[in-house]
Amino acid sequence: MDYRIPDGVAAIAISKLNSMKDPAIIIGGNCSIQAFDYKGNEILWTVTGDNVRSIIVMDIDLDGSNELLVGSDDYEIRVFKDDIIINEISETSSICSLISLSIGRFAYALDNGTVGVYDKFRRMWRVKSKSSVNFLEKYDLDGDGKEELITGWSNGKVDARNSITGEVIFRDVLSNSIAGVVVGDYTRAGKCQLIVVSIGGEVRGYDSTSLKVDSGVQTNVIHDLLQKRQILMSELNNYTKASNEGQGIPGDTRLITEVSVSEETTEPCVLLTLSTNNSMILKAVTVFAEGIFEDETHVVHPDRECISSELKITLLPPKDILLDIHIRAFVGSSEDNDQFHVFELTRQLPKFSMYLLVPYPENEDVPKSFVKFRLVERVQRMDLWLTQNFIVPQKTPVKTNGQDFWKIAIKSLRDSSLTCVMFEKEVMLIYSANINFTADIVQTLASYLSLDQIDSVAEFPKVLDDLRESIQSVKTLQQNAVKLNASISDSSALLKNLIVQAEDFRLLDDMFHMAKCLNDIFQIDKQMIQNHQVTCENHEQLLVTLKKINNIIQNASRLRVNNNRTDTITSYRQAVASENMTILKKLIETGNK
Amino acid sequence: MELYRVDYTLLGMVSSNCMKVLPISQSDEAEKKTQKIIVGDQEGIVQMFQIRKGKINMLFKTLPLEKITEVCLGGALGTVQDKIFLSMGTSVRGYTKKGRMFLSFDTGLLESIKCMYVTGNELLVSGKHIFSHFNDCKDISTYLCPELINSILTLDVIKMQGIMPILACGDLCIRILEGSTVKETFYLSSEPTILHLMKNNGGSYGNEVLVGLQSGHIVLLKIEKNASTSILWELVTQSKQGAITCIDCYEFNGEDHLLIGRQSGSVEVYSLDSHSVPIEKYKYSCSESITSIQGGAIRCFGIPEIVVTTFTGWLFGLSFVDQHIDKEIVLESSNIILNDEKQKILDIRTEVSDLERQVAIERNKYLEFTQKSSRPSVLPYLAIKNSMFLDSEKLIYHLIIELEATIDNVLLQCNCSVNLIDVENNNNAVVSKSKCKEEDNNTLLITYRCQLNTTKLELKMWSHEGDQGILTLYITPLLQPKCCQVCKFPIKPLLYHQRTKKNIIYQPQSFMTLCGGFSLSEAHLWISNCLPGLPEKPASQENSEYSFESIILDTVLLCEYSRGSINIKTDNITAISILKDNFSRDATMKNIKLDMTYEISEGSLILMIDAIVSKLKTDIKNDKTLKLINAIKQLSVNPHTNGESLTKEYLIMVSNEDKLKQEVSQTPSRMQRLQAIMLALFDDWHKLRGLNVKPNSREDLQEALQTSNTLDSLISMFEL
Repeated sequence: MDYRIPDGVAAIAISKLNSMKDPAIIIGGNCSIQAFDYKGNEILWTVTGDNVRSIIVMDIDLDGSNELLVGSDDYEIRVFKDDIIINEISETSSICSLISLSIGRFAYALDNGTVGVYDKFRRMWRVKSKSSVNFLEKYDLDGDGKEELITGWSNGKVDARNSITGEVIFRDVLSNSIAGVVVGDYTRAGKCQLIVVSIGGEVRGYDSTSLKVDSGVQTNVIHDLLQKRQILMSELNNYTKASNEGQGIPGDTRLITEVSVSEETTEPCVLLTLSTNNSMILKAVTVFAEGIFEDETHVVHPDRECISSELKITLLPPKDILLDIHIRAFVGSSEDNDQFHVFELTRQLPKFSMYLLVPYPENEDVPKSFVKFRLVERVQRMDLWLTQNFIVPQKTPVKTNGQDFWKIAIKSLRDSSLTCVMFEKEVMLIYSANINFTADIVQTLASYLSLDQIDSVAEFPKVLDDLRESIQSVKTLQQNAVKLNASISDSSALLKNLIVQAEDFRLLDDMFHMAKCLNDIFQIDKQMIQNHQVTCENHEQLLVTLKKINNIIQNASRLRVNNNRTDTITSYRQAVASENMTILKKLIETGNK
Repeated sequence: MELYRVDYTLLGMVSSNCMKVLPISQSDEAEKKTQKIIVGDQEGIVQMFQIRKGKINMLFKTLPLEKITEVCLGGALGTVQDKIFLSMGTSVRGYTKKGRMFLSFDTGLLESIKCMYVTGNELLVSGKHIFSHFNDCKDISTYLCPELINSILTLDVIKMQGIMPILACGDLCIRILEGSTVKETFYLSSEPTILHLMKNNGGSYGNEVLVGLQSGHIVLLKIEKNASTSILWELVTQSKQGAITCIDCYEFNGEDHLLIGRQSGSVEVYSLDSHSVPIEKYKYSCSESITSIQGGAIRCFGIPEIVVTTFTGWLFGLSFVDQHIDKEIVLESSNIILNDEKQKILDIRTEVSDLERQVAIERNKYLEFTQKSSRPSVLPYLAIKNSMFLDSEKLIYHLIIELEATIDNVLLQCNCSVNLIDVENNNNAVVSKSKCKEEDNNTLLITYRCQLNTTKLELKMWSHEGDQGILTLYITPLLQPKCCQVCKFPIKPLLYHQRTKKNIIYQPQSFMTLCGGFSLSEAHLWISNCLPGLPEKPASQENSEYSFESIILDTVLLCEYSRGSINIKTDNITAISILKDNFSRDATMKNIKLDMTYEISEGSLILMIDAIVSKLKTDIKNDKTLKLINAIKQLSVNPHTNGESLTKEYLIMVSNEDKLKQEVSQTPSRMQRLQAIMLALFDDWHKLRGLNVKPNSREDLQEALQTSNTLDSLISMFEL
């Protein structure tokens, strides 16, 4: 069998899915997931938020049937049952690898060097390293019957960790980055071994005999206990020897934080204002948050002259996710101190922190596209929903009569587009040009108000146009690809001929014609390279367009909440395939054919 | 040789060489007892203990007093050396092995004692600069050393028929004294950090001294009665192994062994012989720097062991599991140990839970205090050991920070451009670079988030000569209440000049002279702001002379100054320009008028260009070759075509790839640095000579620096 998957294949798994009798091939590609049975029939197709990086099949909720776990580039691990998403886990970076461990547990690895283990949907542990993970595997190294998580790192390290505690029980270093880790009975000893290969070609095998015996448990216990004693003594020392003289800070010094959304800065952003409650100065502040800075930490260290008891930090979260930010402030009485007290605190940025709440605009400023659905809810709950998901200024710009009328406008700091949310007489209306953001709002509303079903009516003419255009361009791009392929095969046939001819002329000692032939070869070769570049670009474009279509479909389906949503996705798929714009329009507008 | 580690205890902060193993007395030997250990810590507590059944058995312990800086063993010559001498502040105390104090003597030194050496009834002490010799507590001689004293000792008094003090000094030499005068100054390749008598007694003639160097090498010196010195051997190790912090000689299995502890945390055992370079027999690495090392049978009678203390106070032993030792003894003892260790664990557990309770009480008290009181809270300082030194082979600076407690995180800030090189193997910290805003005057903001149980952080970096600034480190230990400590390191503009031996005959062709109404200490300050390795105070009251060598270009810089005048002689035109700018800025700040004359000779320019070009050529060639190898390797996709299609020359090139890569990694980014130096030279030459730069010539030069065949004609781009 030979199948071409136009989206490309990024991850593949073979296993029995939920209700299926036979194993299926599950393929993750460009925002889409497909499954085929042994005959090659497509038995499942669904969309996901971003490029799929890793797929595993396991029974995570212990209900006796397997679920599909998909890790993608948008930091999410989604759990599918058949084709319904039953859970989403947000991580801090792109998910590069997943592996199932014993019952209900799985390990994950992220692009930023994090490795961790989830037990069902609860994270048991995670560690972060400066090098990145190349490979995850499971193997019972210490022979205790429980499999350890084996990690192969880009810096050549291999380590084995207890899957429950994350404690390292073994480590080794190869001279090059790890290319792969496999488990197999290589020596035919009836017992599997762990085999590690580095990109330099080094192969090493491990089993329970690799663990050093002499590093007994007892010495470690003593070592740890003594160390603990030392730490306690130092802390005690800190309390007993803390003096009240000298360059310290008053005991009742507090650090005050305030999170606001600001448009006044050169670039609109989330503004974190730190200040002390007295004259103590802030020498420097580090902010630790994952996914919003280039690296994990952002440092503000003002110039000597500008040091004061207040400090402003600008934050620009690139994605709409709930963020924990850990702040560490160095507080002292004067900037020349050689000792500063460190205040540590954690604040949470709401999911939609990059949006400014503004008063409801005049009619002509309200965007034309909208989504509308019935919602039976008190307006007070709407206020609570707002405070949980947005940074609400002290003077709230919400317009409400306290009973059945509630409206607010939301301005995006990224592109300053306006989204208006109006709730009147049990009807919810969201006006926005941005279908993605609208879908996000619908989903957070549904989860906050625990709604099982939202049947909405939507009108996004522009999105529809986009979709039509994309479908058109996919068609042209696919045609282009065929044309290009044909021209490449023409050229290569010609080349073969010319090479034979050139050889003939050489044997006949006809240098003039041979040179001509070779010259032609050179020209055709050049042309082929150019053609190849065009093919690559064409393919690139095709992928982008396909991704766009998948995204639109996903967002459109996310405008509603429905447990039968997947039927709609299949309908979308059919409509896209048959280019039936009327059905597509209807699907986006009502969710039904 | 195989050894295994046994942790005995965690002592608290102990200074270097403050742990000693007492030689075994005859009565103990008869009773098959183990050797005793004596430790003097930074709180001032002296304790002597024995390891019995794996546990510490305290023999005596004094009350805390002042920080103990050195512990020596002594006694009447010819008897067992079991009298304990220790230095604290400016005084020296003596204890018997029973814990009775028999000596308390104030040396009257003007600074606190840093080094001490005792033999027979001779007592040698030194602070940072002052050395004193006492005989029976009577002052015999004193010597004021212009440089920092790192270590002192004297050769065997009987065999040498007299006392011959030797000082390891900061200006890369050892000074051999006679009375109060220097009889001989012997220069070494790197700064000597520690002195130790060969085989603990100076060898068969009592005149051999082991010297540990900053570069990590060890030298065996032979010193004659007339103080003439010669090197018997030099043990050259890879530079990354780190400076030597402690040395001991230990005889076991009928062989002499050299025990070495390093700052990098490695413990090494070598076979020792006067006539040949030692051979490594064993190596152990721990995560902290080693503060003292000794040999002795401390756990089981007759089984030799290496006893080590580390920076945060771990006392551990490395026991031999050697074939020559009766296996039964080992087995028997390890059985006992297992049972004993259980008891030991229980004991420590109780201690820890007691402490936890106590800490909880105090923590609440402190919390209460922070709720109510507005009185200032000042936390005690933690001991931080930091050192910054130059690796003259790799042309980079090493910065090592070591903390008494475990490090939580380190914030690095600098206001001049510094390039950090990632140290892959020594640090497990997660590095995070932060963006710098221009208005904050930062060029570098990096945080290191350390993994559990890190007490040491090592950084490597380089900067361009001429850049000047301060590197600030905010070190936060993992301790409540959280508090960070600040360490500052000046980045001096002429950081890649190193102090060198005094007698340089060669006279550089360019010079700069400054005259004006400045004092000697001002001149000293100005110079030490620019050049590294100068002592804190001027060496003499009238005229000081120092010579430096650029480790990148090998040019010499001679510096001579006195009250009202500074003379600089060098071929390094850029150095003159940097010094000129810095001196005039410092003088303007103090409102001192300077008379500045300088002459920049063409000879110097040619010399500089030659020095740069010769090195740049190899770098460019290596760079090109590596790029070529990369390309060639992509050609051979099919392994069968590999050998046929390439010429022999290319095949050799590819097979030498690893070697070449190794060679290039020895001097990280030297090519870029040399190119930058050449451009700086171009600018400075025209500036100092007052010449106008031809349009586009700087751009042309920049281009010419990229390829090796244009390098020979570089001189034509300079206006002469």
